[in-house]
Amino acid sequence: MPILDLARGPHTLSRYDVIGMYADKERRLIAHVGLHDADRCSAEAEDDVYAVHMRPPLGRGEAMKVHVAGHVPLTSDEIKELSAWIAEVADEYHTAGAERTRQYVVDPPWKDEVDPNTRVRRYRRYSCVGFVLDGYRQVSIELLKIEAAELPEVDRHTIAAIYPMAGQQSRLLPKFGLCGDGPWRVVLPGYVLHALNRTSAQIRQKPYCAEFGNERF
Amino acid sequence: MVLAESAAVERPLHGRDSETNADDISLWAPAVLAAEILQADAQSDLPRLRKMILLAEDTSFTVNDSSRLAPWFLNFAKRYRDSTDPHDEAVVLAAIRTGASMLAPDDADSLHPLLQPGHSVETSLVTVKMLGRIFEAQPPMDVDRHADLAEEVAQIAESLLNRYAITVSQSAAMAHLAIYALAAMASSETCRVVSIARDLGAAWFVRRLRRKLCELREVWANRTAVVPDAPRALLNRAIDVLGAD
Repeated sequence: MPILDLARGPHTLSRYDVIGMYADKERRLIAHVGLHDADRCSAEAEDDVYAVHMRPPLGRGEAMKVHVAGHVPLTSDEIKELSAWIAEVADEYHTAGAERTRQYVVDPPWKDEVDPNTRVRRYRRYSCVGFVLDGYRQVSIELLKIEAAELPEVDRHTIAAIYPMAGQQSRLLPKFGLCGDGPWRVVLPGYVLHALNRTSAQIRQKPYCAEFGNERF
Repeated sequence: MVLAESAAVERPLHGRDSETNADDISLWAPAVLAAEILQADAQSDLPRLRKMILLAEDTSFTVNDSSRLAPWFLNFAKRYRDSTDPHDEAVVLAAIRTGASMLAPDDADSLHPLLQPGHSVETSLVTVKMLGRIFEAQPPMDVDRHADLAEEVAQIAESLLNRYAITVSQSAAMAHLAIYALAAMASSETCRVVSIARDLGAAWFVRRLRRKLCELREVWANRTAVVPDAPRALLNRAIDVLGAD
């Protein structure tokens, strides 16, 4: 099975498996996802595992609490490609401890910041799930349909549960690309785990179309 | 977003809770930020200057301000790349990205010194990457318009195109970025260097390179202004050298 429910006992995580963390274990609401940043290691729910993930800032090789994980077998060549991609973009996420929300965006799940006069790209903002999705795109695996028309509506209450600070400080919402009062059609972290809850062939064949309620897993 | 980190999201940058707007640099207008950066000197408050440089990366400046800021950012990067203060690495890299993003292709030569290795802050990778992005957004009018720069970039690529170097992801990334930059600046060296990459016999490396060059072709195809024939033809030949997936 591509999904590893770590609450049911330890599972072996492979490099760049998708790891997820609950905001609310009872409701199984996924607040955060990242990529497992180590070769095979055994983990169970609540363990801290090495991750590369958009917190923000981008964390590399640091501990992230894990509750659930998704696995699609990657070839060693695909792992090398993903590693090269991470090395390519990593400089864009050093922050020297300064403002970190600048690297983050919820809608769209990634967005290039460009110079307004030359249109030259400076860096790419990501949500945590956007970083995971873009990573898998580097090896031609489109995990999710991310076009707004293909996404379920999400209300302010759900956004506040996943992004508590944004819920408390509504002025943060436009910074993250969420204008107006909602609902919004945005990519949430839980969706990627549903995308991985399919056979490997299905995962590689076509992107998953998220459904209402998929923010929980 | 990690919940435990969220509490720090809107922490005041200067560590005081009762800042005025004038103190809070994140509230400054772009013109104010540009003026403050441009008048900074050796006696400036370095922590505050670092914050201004990081903020500048998210700021849209006018053409006029950009023309003065670009050399300022690149000079800052040259001055501070030998710093051993860990706070300076992020700032030097941001200064290069921001300064380079403001450059017209004819000014891209000013990045040449930042390609040099051997400094405390490694600036070659980000500089090569930004060279590719400058020409991706502003394609050259013809082949070999930037021969000196291309020669240096080709040297970087060739030095990394061996089976041992590309096992290190940082080196592989740099080789990819260097070839991307060569293709984007329409160097006549591109196909020769691409054929070296192809002959390494590393399928993953070739696949990623092909993907990147095809992305460049797509970016150029989607431009409203037409990319001249010669750079486009060169890019197509380079992709052909790599063969089919």
